[in-house]
Amino acid sequence: MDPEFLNLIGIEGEELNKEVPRLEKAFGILKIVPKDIDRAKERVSRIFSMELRGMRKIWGIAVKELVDLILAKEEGKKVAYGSYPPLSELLVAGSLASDDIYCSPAEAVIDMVLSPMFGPDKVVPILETAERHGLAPNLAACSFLKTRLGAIVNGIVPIPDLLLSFCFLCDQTPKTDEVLHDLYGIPVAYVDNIFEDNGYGWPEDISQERVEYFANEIRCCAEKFSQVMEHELTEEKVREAVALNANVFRAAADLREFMKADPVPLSQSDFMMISRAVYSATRRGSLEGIEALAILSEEVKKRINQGVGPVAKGAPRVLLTNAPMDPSPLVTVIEGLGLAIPATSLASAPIKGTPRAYDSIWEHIAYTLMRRRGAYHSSWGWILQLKELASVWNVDGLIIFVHLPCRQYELFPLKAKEVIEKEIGIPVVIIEGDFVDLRDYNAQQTRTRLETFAELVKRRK
Amino acid sequence: MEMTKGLLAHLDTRLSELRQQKERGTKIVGYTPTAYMPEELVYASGALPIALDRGGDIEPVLASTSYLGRVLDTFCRAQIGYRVMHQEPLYQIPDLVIVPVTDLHVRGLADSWDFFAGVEVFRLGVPHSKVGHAFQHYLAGLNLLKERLEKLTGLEITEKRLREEIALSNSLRGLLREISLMRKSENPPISGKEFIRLSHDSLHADRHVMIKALKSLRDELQVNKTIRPKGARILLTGSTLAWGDDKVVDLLETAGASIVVEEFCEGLRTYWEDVNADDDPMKALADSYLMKRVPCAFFRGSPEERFDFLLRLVKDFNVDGVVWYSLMYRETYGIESHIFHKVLEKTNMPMLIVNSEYSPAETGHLRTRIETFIQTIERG
Amino acid sequence: MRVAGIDVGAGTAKTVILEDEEIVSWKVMPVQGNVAQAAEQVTHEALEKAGISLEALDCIVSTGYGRDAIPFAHRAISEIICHAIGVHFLIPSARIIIDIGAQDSKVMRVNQDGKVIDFAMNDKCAAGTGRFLEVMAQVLGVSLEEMGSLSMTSKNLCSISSTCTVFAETEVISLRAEGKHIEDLIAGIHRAIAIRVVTMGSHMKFNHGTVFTGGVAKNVGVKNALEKTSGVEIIVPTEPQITGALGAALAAREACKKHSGSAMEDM
Repeated sequence: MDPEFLNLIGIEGEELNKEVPRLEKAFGILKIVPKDIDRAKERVSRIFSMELRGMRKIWGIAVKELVDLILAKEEGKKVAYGSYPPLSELLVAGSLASDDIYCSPAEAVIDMVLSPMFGPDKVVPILETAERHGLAPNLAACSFLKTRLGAIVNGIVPIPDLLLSFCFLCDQTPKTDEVLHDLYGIPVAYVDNIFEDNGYGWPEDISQERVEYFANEIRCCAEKFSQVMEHELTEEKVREAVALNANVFRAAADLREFMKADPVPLSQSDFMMISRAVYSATRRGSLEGIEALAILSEEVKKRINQGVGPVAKGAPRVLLTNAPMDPSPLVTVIEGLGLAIPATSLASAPIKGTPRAYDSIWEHIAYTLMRRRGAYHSSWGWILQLKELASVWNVDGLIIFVHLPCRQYELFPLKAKEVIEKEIGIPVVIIEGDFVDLRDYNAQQTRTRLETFAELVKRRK
Repeated sequence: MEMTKGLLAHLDTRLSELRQQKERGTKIVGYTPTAYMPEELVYASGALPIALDRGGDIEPVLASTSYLGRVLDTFCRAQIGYRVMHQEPLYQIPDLVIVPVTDLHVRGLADSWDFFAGVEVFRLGVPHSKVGHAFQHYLAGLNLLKERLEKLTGLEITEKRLREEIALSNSLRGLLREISLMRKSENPPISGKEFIRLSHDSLHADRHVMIKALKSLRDELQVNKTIRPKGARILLTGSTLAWGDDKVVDLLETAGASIVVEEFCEGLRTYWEDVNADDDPMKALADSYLMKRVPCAFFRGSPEERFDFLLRLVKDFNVDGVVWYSLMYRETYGIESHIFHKVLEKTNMPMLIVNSEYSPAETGHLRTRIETFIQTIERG
Repeated sequence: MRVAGIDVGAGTAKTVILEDEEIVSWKVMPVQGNVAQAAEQVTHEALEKAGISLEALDCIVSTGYGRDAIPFAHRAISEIICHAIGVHFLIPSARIIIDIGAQDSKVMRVNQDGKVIDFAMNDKCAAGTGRFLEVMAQVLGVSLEEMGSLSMTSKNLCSISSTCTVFAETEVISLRAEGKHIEDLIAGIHRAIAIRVVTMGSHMKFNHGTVFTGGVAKNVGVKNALEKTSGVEIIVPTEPQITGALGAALAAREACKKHSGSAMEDM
């Protein structure tokens, strides 16, 4: 295994003996050849700040998690796949349940490495397989779910013992899992929620009935996990996982604060990779994330002192809702146009009012999810949260990236644009695309939209 | 059919009749016919329910792109189009609109009306499974709906009134069921298109007029021995068969097929189950509308129960082929059609999957596919 | 001061040469696969017409689809901004600009200074662009240039409802086979484009001061259809195809004035 590559993903010292053979085996299954490794080195060094040791550790976390996923069955574990976006608190509990259990949102683990590191083409065979098994072609169906289905059918990742179908946000997820159930007989545990609120009173009006329903669904899912995985996922264990999750979040608090500096010290490509690697409810992310974040904090602090960042000081700042797993088609272009991106929708904003306290851990999780993310509650909740984020981060513009197959986020960008332009008074541009499927990506048009938008934003400043 | 002439006359004047009622103070309640909204509740409150089930036209779909993202089910997106284009007068009269929020497409429908239609929208949450807490939640939602309706009309929904309305609706359902089941015979006395028409009519007509017409029709059909041309017996199923969306039905019948039974989650009246209101009528409604119904494709784990039901229909109605008609982008139905296709293949039952986004341009290639399918069956 | 603006679209390349504030020459040429070559050629011809050499130019700005592939341009600017500048120069009262080119269509809102305030672009589809018209012209066996005048003789517009160019082609073929008149079909095609474009820009409120540019603006039938669909009167500049290149040239002038003295190559 190429030592430069190993260095790039922060695998050093004692870890080498343990991880290198596993890495080689996993890459064999992925059919990764030396020319792919060269490409990976070039891409990762170009897109991310790999001179930072912390970033190398982050990449190590992501790659090692992928290796864990690919070799899980071979290494004798019972395997459960959550779906993406994950129900973090539950999934983290699952991933930490025991050394004999492997649990993660498989599609995210695959896409956050394959796509940016080896290029979006690497995922295409997986997408095509899924399209032969009932998922609509191109951008009519979600590429995350195509990854979920296609990676299993293509034999890249093991057939799991349980599918945790987080359908509190998405109808396609349970359907995809039904295809998997039909193909392989895998049992499925669903977590459902109902969008029965218009969201005008979010977050104060999160109804108790809905909290209870959602909580019951989460509890039933935990019970099914315990049953199938033959390992009890008690309330205690889930509480521990929630606490651990909160610790990781707190460890990243500095980093989030640092993004408020001028110039913004980190590219959003880096920041998104960090969030994805550490917060996707994976075992590696939870256990190794805190250390990587600590290293990064120090390095970023130095950058701030030196006044270093991907975009010049005094540059206009924009909020970007999200970006593809390979952020370069979008983030690199935006930053190249002289717009700094201090935050995305994944950032938290101080939400007014005091959160309700719940004794039941299930109700606590259900309520927290609907409060933390407006979109998990209603369409208007999503718009209200965007408004709040734009205001709190005091940005000069908003870029709404729309993952076209997502009925959750792609329906009302025009309404969000109207509301924010009127009430916050900043220009908003809508960029359509997909998190993973770049086959139809129109780079030229995206560039034209972003350039024009940059002009509007700079003029305001 | 002679008997339905009276019904047609009634429907011709229905719009002006409703407008007059509205002027006299009757409240009109629009609702999306996803089969999860118990209309008995609306009647019991003294209001009149109107199904918002128009479809089949391309203009409202095109108009809706100003309001909604493009990757959304055709029927769901068209609804805001009908409203803002003032193309369908029935869409302009509701004082309140009830949307049973089933999947994210219907949620999009509810949102688009909330944001752009200028009329109050009440969302009835529909759980996606039949477990205990799902039933409780749905029942709680029905109680909230009951309260909202009572506030709208100022009339209390008593148990007595509710039982009366349930009985009436059972009557209507029972008659439709009786007529539908007549198509089990080797010589169905009524065509698929005619039955579908009755189903749509039942969502707009005055119930008393409808029940009277159905009774006469049933009596007539029981003695009618007209021999109709025999064609391939088809089960037509899918997501939505809207009022005005005649394309696939017409193409099938023109190709010589006989649609003997249909199963759609949206657009048609469900009639397989009656509501047993012996005890608590609210619980009875929740039980019938959520638990006893065949689950729609957006239910988690729906294939097991739905496929059982569809296979039973295939057997009971002696079906020769299944046509699955989904609207564009309705992925829950799209994926399910893929799984169902594999199930049917094992039984050697032919199945055709067609999609539409209400565009007239589709007619050409739809016709070719449907004709080929029917001709292949008939050649045996 | 002499500057040039080059607009390289997917269908045509255009160059405008300005001397101070006056247009001394302009040229339009088809792009046949190679954008850099087309840009070079059209600029060469425009320069010849003006009687100037490339070296005599103080600044060159490129715009359009192929703007990054022109090595001799000093700067590349988005075509939305350039169209806004160009139109403002010709028609200062313009507040909404509709531009329909070979492969994309855009709607922009500008303020009284010609600065873009809001904009929308077509999604990936070709329907609603010049390509749509090209395909239809071929199907009907008429030339692109005739389509405008032919449609004006239509008495019974034949609605085309396909949202996809490929399906619309089939639709038109079958309607023609049914005996529908060519002018009625063309009128329907124009209406389809107009609806598409107006819907795209519907959140920007069309009003007086709506200007139509791009190659397709030369088609009086499309202009007509846009007026009917949007409900407002529409102005088409005398040479609607060169507004992008004109805007680029004006932008070159601005840039030149700002950097007067320092080498243009530094840009």
